Amino acid sequence: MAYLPGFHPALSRVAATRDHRMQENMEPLDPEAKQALLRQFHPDHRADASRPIPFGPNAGEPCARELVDLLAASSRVDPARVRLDPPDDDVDVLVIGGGGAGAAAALVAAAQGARVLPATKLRLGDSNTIMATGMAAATGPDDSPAAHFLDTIGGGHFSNVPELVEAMVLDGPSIIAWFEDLGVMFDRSADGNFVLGTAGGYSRRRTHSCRDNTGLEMMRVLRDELLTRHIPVLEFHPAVELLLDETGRCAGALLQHLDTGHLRVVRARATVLAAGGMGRLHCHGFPTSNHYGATGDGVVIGYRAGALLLFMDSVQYHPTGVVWPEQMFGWLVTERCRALGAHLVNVEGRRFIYERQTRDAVAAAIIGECERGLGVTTPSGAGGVWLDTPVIDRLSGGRDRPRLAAMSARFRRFGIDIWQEPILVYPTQHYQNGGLRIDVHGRTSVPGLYAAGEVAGGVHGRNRLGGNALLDVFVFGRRAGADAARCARDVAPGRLGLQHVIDHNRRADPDAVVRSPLVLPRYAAPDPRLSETFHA
Amino acid sequence: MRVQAGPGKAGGSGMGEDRFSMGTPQSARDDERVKFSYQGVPYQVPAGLTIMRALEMAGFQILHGSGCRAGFCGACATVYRDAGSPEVRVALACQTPLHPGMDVSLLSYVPVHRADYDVAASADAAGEVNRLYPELATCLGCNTCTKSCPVDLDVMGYVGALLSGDLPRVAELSFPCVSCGLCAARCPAGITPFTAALHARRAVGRRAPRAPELARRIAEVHAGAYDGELRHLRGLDRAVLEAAYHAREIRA
Ligand SMILES: Cc1cc2nc3c(=O)[nH]c(=O)nc-3n(C[C@H](O)[C@H](O)[C@H](O)COP(=O)(O)OP(=O)(O)OC[C@H]3O[C@@H](n4cnc5c(N)ncnc54)[C@H](O)[C@@H]3O)c2cc1C
Ligand code: FES
Repeated sequence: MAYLPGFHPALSRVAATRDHRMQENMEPLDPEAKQALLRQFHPDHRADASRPIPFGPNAGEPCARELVDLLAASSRVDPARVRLDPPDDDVDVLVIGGGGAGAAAALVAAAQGARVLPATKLRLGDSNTIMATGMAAATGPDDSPAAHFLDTIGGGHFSNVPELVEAMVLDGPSIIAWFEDLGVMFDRSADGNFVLGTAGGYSRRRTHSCRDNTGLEMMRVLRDELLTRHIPVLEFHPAVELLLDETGRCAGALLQHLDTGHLRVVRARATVLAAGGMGRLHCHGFPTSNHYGATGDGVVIGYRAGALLLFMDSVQYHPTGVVWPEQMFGWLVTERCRALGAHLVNVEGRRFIYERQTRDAVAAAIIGECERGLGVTTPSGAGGVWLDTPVIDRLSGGRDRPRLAAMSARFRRFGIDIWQEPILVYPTQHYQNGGLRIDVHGRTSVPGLYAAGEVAGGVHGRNRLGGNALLDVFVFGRRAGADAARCARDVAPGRLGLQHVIDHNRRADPDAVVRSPLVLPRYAAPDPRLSETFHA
Repeated sequence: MRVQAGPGKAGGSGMGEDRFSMGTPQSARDDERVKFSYQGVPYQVPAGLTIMRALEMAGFQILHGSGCRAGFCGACATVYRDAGSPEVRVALACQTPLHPGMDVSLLSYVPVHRADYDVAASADAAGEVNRLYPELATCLGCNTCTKSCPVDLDVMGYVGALLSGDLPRVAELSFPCVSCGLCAARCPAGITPFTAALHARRAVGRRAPRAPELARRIAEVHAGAYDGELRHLRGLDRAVLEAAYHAREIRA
């Protein structure tokens, strides 16, 4: 479905103003103007964006309301009906989640001699990781871990946990080398140097890529390596609760087969939670760029087991989600487009924000532009602004096309040529800035429980920079895997228990129709013959 | 044409029932209904959906066959036949608009063959791939694999390059592979092109010329060359740190 005739006047305005815009110089916002913009238009600042968490270790703290619903709901599991003895599996390290953080943790723990069981909700690699385009690391000649640190902390509005940022920036270069050794095909120039890209908020060129299939390339190589090392992954087995022993130590998890619904009890000396984010909760009704399984399960079961959370009221909306064609609604348009020079343009053909500002500010600016009536409206009433991709072609004389090959192919399938026409975009829910609090080894506040990747919070503070998530998941996935393997040598879990779930269910909201963790978003149309309440 | 500021205004219950948030903006045109079949059973859904969303609108909660929902992961491999056509065709359900009259089935799993190898060890990767996948040599040249690729790769072209040992060419041609397994499912010679190609790409990646600076940077990190500067930054109080941030030189 290419652009309908109704779009043509607006499209010609974009084409007609392109030359002029290319001469224009947009200035970054000063810090006060940026704060004002965020307060006025960022969804986190809406009056109804967050609610206090009703009980548990973070009681009273604000949290995205869609997540509070799940934190407060009763468990999918009725502990009274579950027999925990004997366990189905008895392992050193259980890894929950099959994205980048989980795969890295499993490989590293196994390399240290631990018996590892990776379990995941869908297939290994069905994840957010597989969609990423760029990974930051301070490898460039004029870059340094200190510059990376400062950019990251400033991008996070100085709320990041500094130790975690320090660990991330220092590990960055070795993560790249690890992937080189595994055979990941990075983009390089003829002399072997990396082709480095940039993203909003960076002071140096820093993102490494494998064309625009970076996450895919890393994920398929990690999967192949897990298979080579004979580390079988339990797929279609989401974790539905953690298990604690009588001392409150995490001692494994309860998994539930997605098809049969049968429970599987895993006893583990250490457990790494790497279950990713929560885009599929659709905060404020936003669309999302996230994979199907991003339902916040990790935060829900971790919190229930007593783990502390950080920044759960902070959600990242990526500025450029697709608005048209409607079949692509919510899909991510990579930040690389802006890094390579694409303009953001309103219905009048004017730029309205410095495109390489941090994501929160650019998203707020787009929302503001639409609320002021300067957006472009689709026949179904959705609004957005133009991302003028043909500018990239003009700037590079076509040389940058291979760097957006996968993305242009996806648009081509739906009849849009991004080298001739701009893309209509609006923010999409993208990333969970907060999560389980961890230390530099990935330890949560619950002994025996580790967290790594998007499920953890603190590394990025209240706003994450592009390229830093992919680095974060491998840095902390590896650190958590290594420490979990170490810890598994010294401890033995006691008796498996679900007392924390019993306690939780007592306090849970009895009227809630939903039970948690959610596991999958409910996208199936309801049975029209049944009323909603009956259906639940 | 109804005007609305943006999708964020649509509001949502947070559980995903909101039609906007599910990647079916008001897109789905309720007035215009389309008929299709899933495994032979007919359904009607609004027009303007992908195959994946059409299944959901028909009442299916997908368990196997939905991963990234954006064309990267290959979870949603689908076979279908258009009304009036004898041909069974393939697609990614999340990437393909529903055609009226289609009969579709999610494939979601192909029990593919792969061989173990140590990417670090082999001196002759091209020879190794051909040794581990001897069936490559039985390629009939029928081009079914290429026709079966939902992301339009020249699969037979890279099988040829595998046979001639040109691994960089294999890497070039196979790079966007989403590992859906359809090429292997349909190959009449029993070849698994994409696992062999993954082996080839890893060999190419492993042998790529290394960035000259990287080893030095890692050695500096290990030697603690950046610790002082980081300690200094961590010790700054907030106002000074903010000033340092805003004053930093931008060279990106
Ligand atoms: C479209 C897109 C593009 C992105 N681009 C970039 C980029 O260019 N650069 C960058 O740095 N970052 C990017 N990000 C962010 C980054 O990719 C993610 O934050 C990161 O990869 C998360 O990795 P993870 O391993 O923590 O989680 P994921 O990769 O999401 O993996 C989580 C895994 O846990 C599984 N799981 C969930 N619940 C359960 C459960 N209950 N039991 C068992 N398993 C469960 C999931 O199915 C999944 O396999 C992007 C994200 C998206 C969505
Ligand atoms: S669901 Fe990942 S390719 Fe379709």
